[in-house]
Amino acid sequence: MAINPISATAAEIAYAMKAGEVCATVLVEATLRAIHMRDPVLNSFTAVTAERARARAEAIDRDQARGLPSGPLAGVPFAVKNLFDVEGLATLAGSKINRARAPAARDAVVIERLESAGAILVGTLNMGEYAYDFTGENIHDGPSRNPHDLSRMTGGSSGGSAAAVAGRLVPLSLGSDTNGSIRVPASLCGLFGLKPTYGRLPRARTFPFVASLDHLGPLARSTVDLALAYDAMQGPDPEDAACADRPIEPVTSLLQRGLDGLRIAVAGGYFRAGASREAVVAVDRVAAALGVNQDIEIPEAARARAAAYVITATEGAALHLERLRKRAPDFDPAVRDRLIAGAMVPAALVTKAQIFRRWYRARVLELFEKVDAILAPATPCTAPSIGQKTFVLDGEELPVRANLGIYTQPISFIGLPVVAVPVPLAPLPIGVQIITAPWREDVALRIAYALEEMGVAAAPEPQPN
Amino acid sequence: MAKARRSRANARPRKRAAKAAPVATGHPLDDFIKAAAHGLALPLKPEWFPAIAANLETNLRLAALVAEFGLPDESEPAAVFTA
Repeated sequence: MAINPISATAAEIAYAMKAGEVCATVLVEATLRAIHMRDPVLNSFTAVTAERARARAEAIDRDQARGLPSGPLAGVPFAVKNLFDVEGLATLAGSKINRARAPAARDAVVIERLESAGAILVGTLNMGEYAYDFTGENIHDGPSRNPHDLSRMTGGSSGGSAAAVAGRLVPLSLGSDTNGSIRVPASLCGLFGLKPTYGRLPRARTFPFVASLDHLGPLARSTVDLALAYDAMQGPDPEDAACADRPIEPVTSLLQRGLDGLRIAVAGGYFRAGASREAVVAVDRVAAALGVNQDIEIPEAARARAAAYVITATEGAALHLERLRKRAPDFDPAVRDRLIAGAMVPAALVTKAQIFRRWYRARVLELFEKVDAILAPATPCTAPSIGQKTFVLDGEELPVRANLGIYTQPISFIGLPVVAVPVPLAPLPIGVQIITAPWREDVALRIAYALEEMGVAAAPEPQPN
Repeated sequence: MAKARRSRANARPRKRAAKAAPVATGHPLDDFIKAAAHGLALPLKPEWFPAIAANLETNLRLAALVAEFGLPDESEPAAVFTA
């Protein structure tokens, strides 16, 4: 076999499949073995769809033997956060309550699209309850563990999605990002993560959290893998009211266009305050590699984060109100208490937040007349310890669960596309956000690819376990 | 009689509000939480009050930070209904 199925990227796997150097059944068996051997420590999977994966692999191998063309993700094993519908499984969304739901009748749209491109679903992944989480800790399923230091958080809420990819169980996973839930775990686990423009990828048949902020996206160990998955998932979908009616805009073929002509700046002010030394070093290293020497102020970012916080609390509370009435003791207390408090925020204040949101969007879009991309830390620090409740940011002791996303929230608040790139600092990696104008995922991915080519961004090898 | 009829006509079906838990912490928001829980029919346990109060205090502090930002009356919210 020309590739190592455990350490290979999705692109390497798809290439080897196309070249006939490996078959899907071998890839799936190697993946299932890796999950069986190593996931008891990482705790990233909540269900392994072994029989389904084997059947799918056999079908792909049969098609290959008949000379049918292979898809761009042929044979690539992947797994999804357990808020994605998977036919035959109850969609947990990290909760105890949802375990009583009927099994899903059909896969989420994005799973169907990845499988149409040849990928093979191997299971569902641990996550923070109802996605209201930045830690990756789950009271019902236990915490997912950071492959670079098992005593550390993965970040959340897509914690299992990050642990499974960083731990070399699968090359690709899907997560969701309402306020940072792809970018935070990508940062803490040293991965590439893409949060596309709000409305770019269809969310049909996924369990929601905050409808006006929810995004889906991939996590992977390379930019090319992000692009391959992203291209396969694009396209309008009438089942998601927020999904834009835009044509597919493929990016994979654009990655090597380089940096010529791109104007890039570093976010100053709010995005420097509270950042740890590691977060600052990571941004500076990326900026230096890109030859960036200008700062830019994202106006009223602290207020944007505050407004995102309020909208999240209140829309999330509205979603769960009936469950809070009837099943409150079955929630994770940390989630329950935040949701109950969200239900009690006066509507006038929520409307103020939505008014501010429109104003803020207009101001930030003006910045993109001057620059094509903005760099900012993805998290204020490297991975905190599992169970750690507070940390100090800018001299203030704050809850970890609510504040790991202080740098991601002001960006997703207005739906901007972001690629989080991993900077492999020792002993723990940390991510940098590459933020672009709406619908310009191509620019963010080009910059990420260039950084990877320069060796500045890379997904580090995990700790052996 | 007429008064009784009007009273019945005005009566709206409503869920029986949960009996609010006794105030447990002495937090300034406790009375508000108790009243809101009653209005929302949320059954709360006394031991949940401190964490709810802390979270609500954060929500209100952050909401105030947004609300104090002066914008014209004509400013539209981000979520605008389209027919």
